[in-house]
Amino acid sequence: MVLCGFFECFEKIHGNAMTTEQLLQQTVSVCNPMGLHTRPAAELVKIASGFNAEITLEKVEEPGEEADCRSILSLLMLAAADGTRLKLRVSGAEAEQAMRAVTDFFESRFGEE
Amino acid sequence: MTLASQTIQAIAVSPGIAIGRVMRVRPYNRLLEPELQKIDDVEAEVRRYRAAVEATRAELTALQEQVRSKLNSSDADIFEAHLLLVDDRTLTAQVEKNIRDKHFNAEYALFKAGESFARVLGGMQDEYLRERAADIRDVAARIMGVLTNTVSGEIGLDDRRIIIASTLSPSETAQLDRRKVLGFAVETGSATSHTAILARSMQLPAVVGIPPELPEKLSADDKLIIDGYTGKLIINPDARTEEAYRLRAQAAGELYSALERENTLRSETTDGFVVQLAANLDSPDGIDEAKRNGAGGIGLFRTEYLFMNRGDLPGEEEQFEIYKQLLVACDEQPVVVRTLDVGGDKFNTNIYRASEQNPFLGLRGIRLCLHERRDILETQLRALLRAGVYGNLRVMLPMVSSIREVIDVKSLIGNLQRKLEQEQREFLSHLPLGVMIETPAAAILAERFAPLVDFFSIGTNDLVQYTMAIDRGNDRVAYLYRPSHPAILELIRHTVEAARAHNIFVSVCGQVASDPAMVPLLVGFGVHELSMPPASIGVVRRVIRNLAMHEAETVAREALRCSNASDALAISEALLRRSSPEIVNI
Repeated sequence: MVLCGFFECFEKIHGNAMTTEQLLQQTVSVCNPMGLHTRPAAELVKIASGFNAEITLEKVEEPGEEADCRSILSLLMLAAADGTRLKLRVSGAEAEQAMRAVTDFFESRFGEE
Repeated sequence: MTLASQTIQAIAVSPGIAIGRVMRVRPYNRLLEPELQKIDDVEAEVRRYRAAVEATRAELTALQEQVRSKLNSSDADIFEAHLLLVDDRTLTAQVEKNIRDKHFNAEYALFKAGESFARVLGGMQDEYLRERAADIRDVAARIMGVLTNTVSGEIGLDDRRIIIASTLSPSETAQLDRRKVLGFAVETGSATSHTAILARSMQLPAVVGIPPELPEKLSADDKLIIDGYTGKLIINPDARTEEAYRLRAQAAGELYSALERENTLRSETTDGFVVQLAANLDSPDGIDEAKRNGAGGIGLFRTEYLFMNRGDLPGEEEQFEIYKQLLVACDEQPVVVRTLDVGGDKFNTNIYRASEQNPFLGLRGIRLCLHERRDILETQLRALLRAGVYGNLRVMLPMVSSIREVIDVKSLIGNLQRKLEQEQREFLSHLPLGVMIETPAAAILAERFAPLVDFFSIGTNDLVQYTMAIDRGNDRVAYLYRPSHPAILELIRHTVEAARAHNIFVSVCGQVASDPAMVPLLVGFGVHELSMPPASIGVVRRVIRNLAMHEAETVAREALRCSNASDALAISEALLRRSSPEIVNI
């Protein structure tokens, strides 16, 4: 099972009249023996860049620097090994779609076996 | 300043002779510290940096296309991550911060940012992430090259030169203007590295294994001779040496173009016995080269490359696609795929983490796959069984030393076939299975292995090491590494006889198969096939076509009576000298 918690927190922050600015949060787990290595990190950057949203990851057990999902360097420096639980935060006009795409990606074990 | 005249022994990886001046290729992954300048107009400097990033991006994209068209697509994939790193938000933000806050020039700002990230990654516990530090430096060095406008500085020369470098990545090799290259001399690499494969496909001589300090010492005025036959690298030769090489280059060029025209001829002796010639490949990259040289199939397809340079393991679908493409590309010609042959000594820590005192005598090859990592063998065999319907597939097991191992694999194959049938998938119902004869145990028991398998392939490199009890990497016992040693010859003879008695196919796929001096001996023993690096096939074909079987048989009989390796080799060599003088003289 990849998703360790369901929507632990679901907040809505109202933006301007045209768009709804949301901050969504969820906890995801790295389920891949090599952790979040280059290939999935590159994949995640591509997914994240496809949405009008800011997407970050932070280690649940060792909170600190947030990794920017649109930066491969930032994701690599996160050094998220197999089993690491991560707090996923998404905000922006397309937050919901982005949240879904990223959680799907984690659930698929990064599309690898 | 030119260097004194000297000769260096390197390793020949692509035949031919090149004579010319030096062109050094700057190693990209070395990020050098630039000069610090204080900038007043920081916004203009930020724009300069952004322009350099854009230019680098364009350069990388173009390069990725070039590499994709020349090499395997997996090599092009390394550019994916690099492309993302070039305009990475985190990297860019740090560089721009350095420019704006500290008034650094773009070069210095990039160096500081790139180094700091590379250091953080380089200090991580995870080995895989540690290695990514090199990617950051590679990309930063590339942007730096654009900033300082030195990327194509050395390459735009108007005369043809010899490329000298510590290493050449696939991207660097692909980037070179082929019309300006005479040959290659590089420090790292092997006969199967990309540089070697590309050099051979470009028909340019190449040597690897030059001393690490050499590229730094040479300048554009130094003259070099690369001898791609013997592996010699001659620096600033005297006039007589140069003239002698010019003559040899001419003769060799003529011989090799003649050999190329013969690539469709049958490899049969003057008295009509056919010895199949096949190619040893490390990856699908060499298929074209094998075809060009008229290989009659792939005698050894190593699968280790599938598991290298990655953190995860290749899945069944990925392997299935690769084997399928390989078989389709080989058009019904036999393809012998060897199952994963690794041990505690090399790569992918994901496969096997235990460290062994003596990995070559440890859990290697089929031992590892049957015990610790049966899952890897299962996935590989399933992929092979499924891909097998697309061509003429044979599967070979490495490092076999007991009958039990073959029986275990056969029952595993049976189980997998039943499962595939239940899943209603297409698969090969009879998978031809063979064993590598590379341990003395397997050679001695050849008669008992023969009824269980469809073919033998004698792997002489390991057979010599295990029979002579010598570590191949130990220079002090290198003198004992003699494939013509009576003990080795006896094991080869014994294996071939057992195979012939049971009517199964027997091939030799070790280094000796491509050694012209050993070919008469092996032919005389009665092997059905010789499998070798594709580039050697032309020479061996000529040797066989000049040979009479009855003479080769006499040589084999006499060699078996010799009491030492040198005498046995001399007998075989004497026949080569008589029958193929043109080969000996090159």
